[in-house]
Amino acid sequence: MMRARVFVFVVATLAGALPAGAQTPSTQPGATTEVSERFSRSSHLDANGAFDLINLHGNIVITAGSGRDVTIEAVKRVQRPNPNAARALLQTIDIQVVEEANRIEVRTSYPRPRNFPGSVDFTITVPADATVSVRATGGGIRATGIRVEALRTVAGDIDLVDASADQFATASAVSGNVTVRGLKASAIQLTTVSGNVRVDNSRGARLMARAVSGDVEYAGELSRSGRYELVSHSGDVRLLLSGATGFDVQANSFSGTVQSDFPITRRGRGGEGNGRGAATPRAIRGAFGDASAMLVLRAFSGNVSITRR
Amino acid sequence: MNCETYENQLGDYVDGARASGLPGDARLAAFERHLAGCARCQALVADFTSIRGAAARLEEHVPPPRLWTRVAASIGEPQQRPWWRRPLAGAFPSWAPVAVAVSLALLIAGATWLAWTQEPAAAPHEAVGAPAEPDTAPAEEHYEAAIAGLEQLAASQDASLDADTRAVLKQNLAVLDRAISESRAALADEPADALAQESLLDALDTKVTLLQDTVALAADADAGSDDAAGAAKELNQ
Repeated sequence: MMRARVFVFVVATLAGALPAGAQTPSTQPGATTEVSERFSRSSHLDANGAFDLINLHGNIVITAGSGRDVTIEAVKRVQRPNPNAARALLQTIDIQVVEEANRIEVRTSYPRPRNFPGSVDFTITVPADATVSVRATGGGIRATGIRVEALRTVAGDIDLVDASADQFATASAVSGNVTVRGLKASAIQLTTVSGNVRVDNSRGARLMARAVSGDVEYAGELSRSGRYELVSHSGDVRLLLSGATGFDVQANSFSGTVQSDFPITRRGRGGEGNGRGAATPRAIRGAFGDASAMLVLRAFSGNVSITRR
Repeated sequence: MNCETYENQLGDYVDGARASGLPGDARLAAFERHLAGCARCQALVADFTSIRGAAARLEEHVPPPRLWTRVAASIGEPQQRPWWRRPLAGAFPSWAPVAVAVSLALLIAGATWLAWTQEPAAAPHEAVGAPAEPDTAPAEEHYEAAIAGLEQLAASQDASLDADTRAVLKQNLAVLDRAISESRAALADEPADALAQESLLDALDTKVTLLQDTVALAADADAGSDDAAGAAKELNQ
């Protein structure tokens, strides 16, 4: 692949060669010393650029700015009992910034050994029309006002506020909560294994939210013609609805209960031969109002509820 | 059998597909038998056929030339694709073999699912509580094969991940194993329960995804650490 411009900023330098003041040792409880170092970089993206970040450990905050600048502020941290060892290890953390064809990719990397006692926290500003994707291993992601494509973390929460996506937006955690407020996208996919998923006042033609042991909750208005699929294995599935959009609903729980505040015109049993009727406490199938939105709500052992907000 | 089970066949039927008696048409044939006795599906077929007819009579609109220009321009900008849509080998050259292995596992799972959904269906039944839902066993078997392969791959790269990440992944795999066990227990009690079937396949599918992520994380950590070690070495020389 031809790269128009490639700048790789390798932050690793010789141990002890940093300017005075770059490291800030501080004694932690348990006689552990933390040393830190700031990293700062500014760049530029033209309209509709892209920003990607791959981080191992540390929290990430990304905010959309009003201009075309990208600012990357990072703090590298290492904790060790021996301050000299901590300083030496700090120098082995790399933050690489690669710019190519209206795309900026930032990646942190650590050398072996794996149980590295350090992290990098990022605070980033990107143009509002830049498409953002983030992948983290340990640490939370908080994004505000951005144009999002994908946010992923293994251990940490994802908090996405007032974001948008032209088409597909996805946020996934393994062990962490996924919270989304004011997201506008054609299709939204939110998943976690052991955390909760909560969606507030977001608009999309299709929303898919899944958890395995956590709760899944959607609060707000439904989009007309929207399709909403909320699934949890052992957590609860909750819909807190405002507005007057009607819906067609198929709600089931294997061993929990299914309950609705809305007067649902239930379909008969014809063609639904799974032994659960349209009006049992464990299943509701029918329509409310103009049935313009479609709801698929499913829990295995959790409860399913549709309530007025 | 639930009407929902036949969503795809209903669409094909409206598009004019009819069962030919070949093995690949087994589900379509099952749908045709189901359709004969299901008023709801008959109404849906009538509605969709009517919509299809109306759509066919709509005036044709030709996209403006500028649209094609934009499409062509976007095709010519592969570097604009985000990292997760790039070919894995290009994004992470050092673990291309792993990517291939993971892709193979995915392929197995996908093919399994397709194979399962095209299994010859049992005799149609409209009565509530009738048995003989599609058996999840063939799909499970292939999911398990994919999981076993990925677990082996993940175990071989276990040392690449730090202890905290390994612990989190292990805990969440245990959560998924519990979900799988609970779904299987439910299916043992109610073999025809569609929700239990969906829950089981959901959990197996999520486990495959988590194992793939685990392998990818380990490979990514390897690639990153090699880069870092290399850069540090250069600076030290």
